Amino acid sequence: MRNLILFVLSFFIFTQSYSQCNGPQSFTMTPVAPAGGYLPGTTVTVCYTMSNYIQTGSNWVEGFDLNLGSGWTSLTPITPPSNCGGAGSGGQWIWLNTSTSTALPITTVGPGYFFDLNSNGVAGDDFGDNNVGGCSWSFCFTVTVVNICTPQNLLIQITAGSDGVWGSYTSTSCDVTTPFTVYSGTSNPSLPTVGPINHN
Amino acid sequence: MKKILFILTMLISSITYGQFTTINPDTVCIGSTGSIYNVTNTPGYVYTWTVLAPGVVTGGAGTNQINVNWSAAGSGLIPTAVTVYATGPGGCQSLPVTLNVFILQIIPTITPIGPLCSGSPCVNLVGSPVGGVFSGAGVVGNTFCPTTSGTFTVTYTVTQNGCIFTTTTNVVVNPIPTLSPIQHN
Repeated sequence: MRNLILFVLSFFIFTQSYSQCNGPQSFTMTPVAPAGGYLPGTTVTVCYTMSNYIQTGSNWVEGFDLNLGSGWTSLTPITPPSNCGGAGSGGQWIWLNTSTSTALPITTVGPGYFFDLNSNGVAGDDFGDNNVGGCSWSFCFTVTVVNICTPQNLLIQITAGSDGVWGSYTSTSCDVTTPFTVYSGTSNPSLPTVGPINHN
Repeated sequence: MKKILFILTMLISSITYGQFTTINPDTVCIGSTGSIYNVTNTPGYVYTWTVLAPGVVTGGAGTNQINVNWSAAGSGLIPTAVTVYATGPGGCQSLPVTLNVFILQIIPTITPIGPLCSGSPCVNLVGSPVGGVFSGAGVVGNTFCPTTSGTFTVTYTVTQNGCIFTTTTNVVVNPIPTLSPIQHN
């Protein structure tokens, strides 16, 4: 019984992670990682959700930065988060390979989804997505395991950042950004094997 | 009883057709033109074979089975004569697997006999290496019996590892002279 409780607690901690301002975070990976790790050439769809955001000091969500291990290639965005601020606040979520803040210290992150409030194609020069009430942000992307015959790092981390750290807002209340680890395995090259040579 | 028959059948098959599983080194009869080598096939794999000269791959390259012509090879051991590795769908390669090949050649000999006289007692036949089989007209087991006159060919056959080697010798059997009755003049 105690083991079961520990397992449930561990699972909860694994799938629900918090940093200073982050809400609960969760993810899905399709296909699910095999026991030995993903095979080279496998394309994986990752979907991530962060429920709620604690807007300390009126910090709004500026973006979600992806950190991928060297074993991944062909990163492709699929669906962006919805605008939580509602149509009235304007802006949209866009995919950027890099995004540079105007808030100090100047920080460059990416790739990932970032909020472009003034719709000029730049995310770092404005505020983030205002959580007007219990909002959640979900997005999906695909990545493919490289065709390399040695085990490769398949780390996937997603870091949520506020407009005080990645945008133009002058507040440090949510400057602590903690990566959320989606996957930390390695690829499984699954080398071919050849049996003994037979002479007929 | 059925089990005994089965075992005997398997034994006879192994004598007739050589190896069930290939022992390293593999034995090849000298002059062989059609040795078939294979590994268990895995769909999607591409197999790369290397055969050391003077062996020549005559078919099956890229597949799990090849034909090799060893006819230009002299007798003796050829280390790492056959090598194969597989490339999987992702481009990864297996470790290579190798096979040594021993080209087997035996040159049998028969100790010459004769000339003999027709009707004389049977003469023992001696062949080298021992263990071979004599055959031909006048041959009875390991002896030659000169019952009639003429020139007879005796064949000595040695079989080893499925390879067959033969040699022959001629035996001359002379007729017994016949004399007319003694006349008194």
